[in-house]
Amino acid sequence: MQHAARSTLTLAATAVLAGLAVLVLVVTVVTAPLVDGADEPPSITDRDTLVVGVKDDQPGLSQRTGDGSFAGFDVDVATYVAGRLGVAPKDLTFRPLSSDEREKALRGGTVDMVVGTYSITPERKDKVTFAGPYYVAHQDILVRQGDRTVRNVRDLHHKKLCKVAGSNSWRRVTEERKVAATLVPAGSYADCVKALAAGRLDAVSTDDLILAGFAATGGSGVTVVNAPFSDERYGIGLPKGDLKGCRAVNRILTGMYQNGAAETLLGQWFTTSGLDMTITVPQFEGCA
Amino acid sequence: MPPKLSGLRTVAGRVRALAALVLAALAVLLTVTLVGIGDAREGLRALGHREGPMVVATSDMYLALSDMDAQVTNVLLTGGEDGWLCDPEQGCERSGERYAYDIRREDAQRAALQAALLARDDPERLRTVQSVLDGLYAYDQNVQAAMEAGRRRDGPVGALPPEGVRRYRAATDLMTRNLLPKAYNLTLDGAADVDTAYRDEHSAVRAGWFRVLGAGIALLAALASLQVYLARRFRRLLNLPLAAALAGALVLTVAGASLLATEADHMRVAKTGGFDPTLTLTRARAIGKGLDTDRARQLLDPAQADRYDQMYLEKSQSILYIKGATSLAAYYRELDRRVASVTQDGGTVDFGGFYGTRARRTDDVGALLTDYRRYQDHDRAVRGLAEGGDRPGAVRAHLDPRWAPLPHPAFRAHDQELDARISHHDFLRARSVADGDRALGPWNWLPPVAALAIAALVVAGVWPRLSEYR
Repeated sequence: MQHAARSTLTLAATAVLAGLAVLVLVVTVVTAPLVDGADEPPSITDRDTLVVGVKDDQPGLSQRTGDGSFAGFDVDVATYVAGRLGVAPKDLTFRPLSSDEREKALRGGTVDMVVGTYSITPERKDKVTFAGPYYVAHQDILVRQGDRTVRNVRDLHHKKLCKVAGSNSWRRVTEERKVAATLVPAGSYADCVKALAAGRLDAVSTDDLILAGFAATGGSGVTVVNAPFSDERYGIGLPKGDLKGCRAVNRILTGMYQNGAAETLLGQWFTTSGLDMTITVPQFEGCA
Repeated sequence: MPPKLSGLRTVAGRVRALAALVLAALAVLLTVTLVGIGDAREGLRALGHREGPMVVATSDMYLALSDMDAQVTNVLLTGGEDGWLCDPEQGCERSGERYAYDIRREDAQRAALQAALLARDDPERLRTVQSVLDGLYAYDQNVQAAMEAGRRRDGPVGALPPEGVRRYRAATDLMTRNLLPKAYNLTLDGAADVDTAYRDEHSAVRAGWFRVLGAGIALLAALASLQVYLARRFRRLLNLPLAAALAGALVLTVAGASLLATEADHMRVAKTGGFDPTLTLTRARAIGKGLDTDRARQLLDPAQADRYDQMYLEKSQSILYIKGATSLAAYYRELDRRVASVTQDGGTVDFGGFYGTRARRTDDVGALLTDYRRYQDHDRAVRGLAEGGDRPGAVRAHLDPRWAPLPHPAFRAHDQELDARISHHDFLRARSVADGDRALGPWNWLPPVAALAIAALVVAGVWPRLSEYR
């Protein structure tokens, strides 16, 4: 009897240990790859459709056309990048965003990327992963064609300069550089340009691509001075942490400059503006 | 599976099955150990022998290009064109700046070669390397033309004739708008490669550690079950060969797991304590060089002063970012206050950029911040002179008071401080990789030999028992 009981016990102990060995072996081999949480965050590189946030009031960059679609350099860059990511134009949706909606829209997932004169700044980099910049714009000055009195920002002394509500561009002239221009308030840059052409103003100053977009509009009668005095690095905003997408977009942008597509697009939208454009790839910010 | 089940009913069958389980666990342990060691070796190779040093070399390209432009600017600023253009075969003495330029040009080309090797089969990157090399040639042409146009001047120091300014502008624009961004992007690409390789291999080694532990525990459990069964079944307290196998398995498991943990650690130190800071600080050093050149550009080409000042401010902000400082005056003011609060009062770091990130991670930034602040102080003094209309005085103050085309001591102190730190971190990377390699040394032959020995012991423990049933 005793022998039988001990035998059962032995068998049970052996079976438990052997079972444990098999179990641990299987668990080890199957689950080890999951240890470090190697799964990456979702990336725009895996998408079949994309929603792109853009501006809707910047001629040449991104403006709503008569049929409700969007057209401009930003829109073309977004379409090019999306195309290279494998998203055809028909699967691409553009959504207008105002400047202060951009971070929230990216975080909330209402847009997948933002291409809309979105300057890369250290504060924004905390909330957004920036690919690019796809273009480095500079603050510049817009004057009437034939006006030779304004060569650089200091020549704005005692000139009538447009001050757009909600924009900081005028501060760079009158506050940072202490140039005593006479500020004339206006509701938007479009109003500024109208007033400039009509002779009620002497100069408009903001990012050169925005100015060039106005200047390139047929019969505008205005031109860009080419006196750059700031760097605005226009980035492509992606949801924070999409490093894979960021690197992919940077590679696409490099290619866009190498194959001449960037030059073609810049020429198409801004060539008649008188602006000197950079047609080599900008220095990237680095994905973080 | 009737044969197998019926096999498990006899004692011999059970012993055989348990022995097979032991050997299977042993095979798994051997495999996962070897795979983990392979991953560690691969990770160390990427960081220490292949991509890592190549990326560091590419980041030197950015520095070398910045240096070339700095030499050119300072020579044009001080009127050293004759020494620059001199052909030593015609009995004149070529200036040291020209020699420095030629050396840095070779450095840049060598770095481009490394970048090309690193790019391997990425066509976009190879084209970028190619266009940097092409651009370098165009840059040389522009520099030559600017030097020749500058030679015929007889005015005060710093006043370059308009043609010279035009050619200089073409050269420096090519450098700052075209070549430097591309060089920078190549380093970013390389760094991303290293990041990916490191992340993959590091997590593979960590997973390997887990697997080795798991397989080791399974092996120990299997050996124990065999031991228990034999001990009870054949009334022996201890089966000696099996006990030895158990001890061997324990040692192999613990040694293998701790090796992989150590390797993961070496990799982490080489990456975060060596590679990453080396790259960041090299970038900061190159940008610092560009900073000094921006001021020289402003003195050389006052018509574009606004643009160069803006470039100077942008660069300062990327080295040490101060929120809201949108003019140089505001930057100087805030810099003094914030650096003093960190270095003297041990206050919190309320700035960003390269130095802000660094100051948050290590305490050892006092000297760096102080040198940077001194450099900016000196910059403010030079600008004061230039704005007061004393351009020759500003040019003199911009450079070393005794050795004219040499940069000012305030710049050199900051530059050398950075250089010392870069060397330190690069050494750290090399040492961690060497330590990791050394620890891996005996593990080429150790696991198979140990596994064979354990297998032999298991067989030796089981065989006599099985033969009793023959």
